[in-house]
Amino acid sequence: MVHFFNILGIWLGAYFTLAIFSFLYKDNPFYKVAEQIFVGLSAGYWFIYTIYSILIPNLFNPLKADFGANWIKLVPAVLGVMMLLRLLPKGNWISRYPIAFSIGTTSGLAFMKFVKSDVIKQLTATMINPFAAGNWIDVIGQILLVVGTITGVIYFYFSKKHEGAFGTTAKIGIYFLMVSFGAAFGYTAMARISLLIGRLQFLLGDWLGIIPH
Amino acid sequence: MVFDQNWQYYIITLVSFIVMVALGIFWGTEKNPGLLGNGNQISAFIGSKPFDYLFDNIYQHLQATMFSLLAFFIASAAYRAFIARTFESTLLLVAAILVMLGNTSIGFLLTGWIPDSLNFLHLPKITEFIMKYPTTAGQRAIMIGAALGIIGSSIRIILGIERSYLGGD
Amino acid sequence: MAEKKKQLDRRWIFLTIFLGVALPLILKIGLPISVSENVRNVYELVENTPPDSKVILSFDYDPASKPELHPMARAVVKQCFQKNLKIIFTALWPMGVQMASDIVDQLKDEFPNLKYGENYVNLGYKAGGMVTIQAMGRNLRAIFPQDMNGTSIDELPIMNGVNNFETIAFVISFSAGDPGIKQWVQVAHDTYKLKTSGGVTGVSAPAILPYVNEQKQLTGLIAGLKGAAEYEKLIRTLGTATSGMDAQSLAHLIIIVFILTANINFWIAKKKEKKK
Repeated sequence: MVHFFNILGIWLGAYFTLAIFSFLYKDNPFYKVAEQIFVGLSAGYWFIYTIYSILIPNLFNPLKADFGANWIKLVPAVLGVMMLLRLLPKGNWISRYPIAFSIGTTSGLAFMKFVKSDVIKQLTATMINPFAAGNWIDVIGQILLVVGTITGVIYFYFSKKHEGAFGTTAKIGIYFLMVSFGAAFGYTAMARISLLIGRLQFLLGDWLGIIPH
Repeated sequence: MVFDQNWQYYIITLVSFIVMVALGIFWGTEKNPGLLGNGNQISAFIGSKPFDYLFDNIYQHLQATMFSLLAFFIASAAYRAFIARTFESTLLLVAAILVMLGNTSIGFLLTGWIPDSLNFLHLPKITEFIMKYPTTAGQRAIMIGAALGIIGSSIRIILGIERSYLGGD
Repeated sequence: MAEKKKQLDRRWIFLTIFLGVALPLILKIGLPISVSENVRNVYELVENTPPDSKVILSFDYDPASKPELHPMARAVVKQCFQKNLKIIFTALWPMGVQMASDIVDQLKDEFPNLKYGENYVNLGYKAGGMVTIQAMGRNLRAIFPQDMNGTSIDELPIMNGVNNFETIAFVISFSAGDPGIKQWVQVAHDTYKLKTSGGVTGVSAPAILPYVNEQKQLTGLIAGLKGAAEYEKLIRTLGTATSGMDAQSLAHLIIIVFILTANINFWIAKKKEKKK
């Protein structure tokens, strides 16, 4: 019986894959049904997963095992309940406290991490001697790296009008941003194609057995 | 009250939500027992817990396929919108093409004949160069800009200047 | 003519892409793959770590990014097992737990002597992202008192002496977004000085690249299916990434041809307008 259900599983997977692909031809009921099932299963999945992966191991189990040592976990639990009161029209104001708490801690934490990793470390990594590189290609590259980073950051400075020498510098910054957007497009295209490859490997391999899997 | 003409589909959403939640609550997930225990008999019958069966055989495939649709749309968008009208868009276009070409085996083959002394003209090398220098420079500028923005808004939140997240002004 | 081309039904584009991906998968051309510096750096990080070192592999993705990240994760896990490194699996994404288990299951036949709790352990998922990593750096045993099966980590030999990141050789994050590799860099590397590396989806690769720098915030980076195929080449294993690269190459070429055709049409139309 297990074998039957394994095969049924693959056929179900193939059916829903094709149902979604059918949208490429045109919108149709098969696609719509598959889409709605996706939404429903997705919501159900996250609901269940929150219970089993977050609430039970992080709250219920520790409280049950040793309440005295873990009572502090009741604080986030109460904050969580307060957050849910947002759903009641009259309880809206209560949810502001947990929101304020989480936004406050997040901004405190993010502040420190971003200053160090995304500003100071990045600036340090840009303060290099481009001419110390071993060959002329890396020298050119490193000059581009330094110039591109500085002009790029200048482009993001909007408090001063972009004109004159400042404007020209910002313009050079745009060129670097354009190259990086182009590269990002290339990588995005690559990623999307990879996902399609994954799907076709399933259809042609697991389902039809045309290619080994 | 007027029903949306797609109301049947919303029932499907609701039913699939309820089924998923019910299966999860009654028999649990792979590692966790549910209210009715582990449902060993059912698992022996279908090969895994019902919740995991739906997850593995339907949800996973639906999610992966939804994302893979973008492969088609990005190709069609590239055809429709990727036009070199200005110097900036030409830069964007050339970078995109070089990166895409360099990330293929064809790029490797196309310039494979180039002698070692001119190795930097090899397409994968050009792609590496674009990624390592100008792209990193652009992305680093964005990273620094975004971080400064985050730091700025953090200070505003901490000092109480920014309070819109509370829903007031 | 240009007008006509512009109205080209996009379903033809869809069909071309579909065939461009499907045919190479069936026909298998076996085009060559070149290895880039970033991927080699990750490989060497694993290769040069002494046997029996403990390493953390964090699975920060879900089935949506499986085609891209699963092959590279499998290649790295395989290399770690070959080098006798002891792997501590963690996940910042809930579904990452299954992803890690799936890879271990796939490799079990190749490494029949592997023992759970000695050679590897799966600590499971922990919500919190950056905060979780921060807490792991302070006291790993407090944040992960049990593995994913509910076994106390005191009973697992691999966890002996692991109190924080001090006894860990490196962390590699397979990351599809937030939380993921960025948080590992910001906390594990920049705060706790733990060697950090990783693999990312193609979409997030450019934004993560600035961390690969002189400061060694990241030691190398595997990007997308191409990166995975390069890694498979380095560990001499033909996996799904390598077999997907032919399709990847052809699909890229098709998109490039589309872009060029559209541009040529645009220029022809523009020239005609000028003549008028």
